Amino acid sequence: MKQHRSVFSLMVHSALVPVLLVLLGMIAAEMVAFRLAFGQGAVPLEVVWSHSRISWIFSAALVVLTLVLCRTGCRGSSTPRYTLERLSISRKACFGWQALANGLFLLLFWAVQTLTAVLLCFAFQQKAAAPFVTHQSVFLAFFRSPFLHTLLPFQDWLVWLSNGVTLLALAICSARFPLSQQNGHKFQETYLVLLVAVLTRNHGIHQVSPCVLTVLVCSALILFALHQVFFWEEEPNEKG
Amino acid sequence: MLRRKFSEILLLISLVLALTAFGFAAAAVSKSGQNVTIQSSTLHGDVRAADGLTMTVHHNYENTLYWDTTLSCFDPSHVTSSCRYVPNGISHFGPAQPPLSLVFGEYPLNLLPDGLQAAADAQAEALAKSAGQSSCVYTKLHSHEAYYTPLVRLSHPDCLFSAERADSPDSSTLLDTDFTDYFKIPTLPDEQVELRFSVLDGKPTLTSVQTSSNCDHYAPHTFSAAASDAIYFCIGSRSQQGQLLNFDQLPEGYGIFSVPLVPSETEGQKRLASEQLDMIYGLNPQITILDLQLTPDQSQLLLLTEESDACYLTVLDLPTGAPVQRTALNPADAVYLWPGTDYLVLRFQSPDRLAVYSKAADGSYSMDFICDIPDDALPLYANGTATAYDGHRLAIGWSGFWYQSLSMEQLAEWYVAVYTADGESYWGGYDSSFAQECIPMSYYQIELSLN
Repeated sequence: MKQHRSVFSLMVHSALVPVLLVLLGMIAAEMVAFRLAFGQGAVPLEVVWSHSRISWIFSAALVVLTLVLCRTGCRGSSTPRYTLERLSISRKACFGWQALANGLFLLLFWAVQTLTAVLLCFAFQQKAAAPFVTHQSVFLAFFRSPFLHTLLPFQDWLVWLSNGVTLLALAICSARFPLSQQNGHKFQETYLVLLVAVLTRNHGIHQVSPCVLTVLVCSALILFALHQVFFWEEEPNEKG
Repeated sequence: MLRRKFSEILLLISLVLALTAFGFAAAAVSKSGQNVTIQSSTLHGDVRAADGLTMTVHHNYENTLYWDTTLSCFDPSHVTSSCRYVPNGISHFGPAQPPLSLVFGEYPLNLLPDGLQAAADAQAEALAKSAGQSSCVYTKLHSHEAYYTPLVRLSHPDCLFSAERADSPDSSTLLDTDFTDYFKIPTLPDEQVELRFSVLDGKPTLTSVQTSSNCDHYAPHTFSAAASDAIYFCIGSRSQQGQLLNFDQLPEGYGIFSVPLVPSETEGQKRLASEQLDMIYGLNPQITILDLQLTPDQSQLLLLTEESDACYLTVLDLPTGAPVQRTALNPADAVYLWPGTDYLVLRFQSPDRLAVYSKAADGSYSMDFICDIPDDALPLYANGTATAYDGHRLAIGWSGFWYQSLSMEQLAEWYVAVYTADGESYWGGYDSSFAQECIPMSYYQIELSLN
């Protein structure tokens, strides 16, 4: 068990600083973009969100974060790879611990992004010109702005499901990345999950199709990745 | 090793903090949206006249978020509101439409009556031979169709047509053969139909068929009221230029008709049982129908008519249609009525006046008072107006939906007026916090109660 804990610690330790840097960079960029779009505050909140292009910053940050998580355990990042190879623990177990660590990092990323969005909304509510803001503006913005609705969909359970499956797919596929790289596989499903996550991230209300598409594609990629890890890719000692 | 442990602890602490803050933030945002606030302005009279008057208003956003807000009209700071999330909820915008309308003069291309279809085919052939361009051809309806072919249009939340039906151009309109067979109304001799052709792929193709508005035509207003088990309706008897139509070939003649609503195969939905179409009360086609309303308890149908000598109020018992009261109104210039639980309000014109009638134990109505509407008051509309009456005060609430031409300063989301036998005591405008949002909420209903 101690060895398993060591693997998890190693995964977390090797990715923590880059992840925190990505988060800080994203928050800073979003604050600047929101301030620029805010101008004199003479537009509704959802229009500020739309003009700020924060959803692009979010997408860029998600791509960088996922690539950082993919890098953990790769040959290029020598320290964790070397340590992992010295531990007598199976690759499948390593994959499991890395998927858990990646999932926690992605959850942190989502929570931080949502918190940043809520705080920027409340800042708007404090500063905006009176005709464009009421005490309900922030709540309504989370239904009027597709980006905000995707982050915090309230009772829109299909969007919650879509978000959850996307994060799970990113965690699992990014954890398989080092394994497939070692096995020389050219197809990296992580890129496909990222593409789906970026292209279908803005679920406005009543947008059932993108949610269903995201859930279906991501579920299929999760199954593919798990099948590859548990039934297809071989342990080094099995290769003989 | 220690540094790795530190990283692990740092991640877990960050995660716990972020998720906790996320939860608090989500709760704060959600709570902020629940509370609707109201601002009011007194436009005339004394707001104390509205003491005890409670207004309930309903908003919805994109048929997804539904707010129910109840406020005291006397002190609008006393507000209670709740918000519901209903994915793909019912669409409401503006005052309710009549539950059922018979539409004359609209001809969906896939549902053209045989005579008009033959005329359109012949015309298309003639245009093809002459290598004609896009054109508009007028033809006398009577030359092709002996009787009108009305479409049935429904605006009832529990009763939708299947869009897959061949005889239904959309989910609210139907070409119902039972209605077509029942309403055998001969076409006017001079009514013309406009056939529009466009050249598509080198062939003249019919693009629209509709009654021409340049000649006299029959496009009557339908008065309808929906009970839980039936829709009651009547249609105007004259053409646009006042020509009387012939209703002799209707099975039971001209009058108030009923069509039952029966459970449909789709759960929670109802079906219009058009095969049970019936007339419950006969009318002389010479009269003019002004209004038809159902009482809130659905026990009576109230009919307002203009006849040769006066305006008449007719009270019919339901479901039998037996007359309870038929009384000539004084003054004789009533325009429409609003029924209440044990009262009814009549609106008169020239000059604008309101009269309140109380309901007796035998179901008949007698006038309590009549009062003038001030000249500077906004006009009242029949549709979407709520009333309440406590025996002395009559409260009327209506939406600013109708007054889009007013400036933003003048326009209120709703108006409330209180009348007594002495006239208007109070008139106020009310705005919710939604009114300040740049994208206004859909309004769909107001309710009033007086205690």
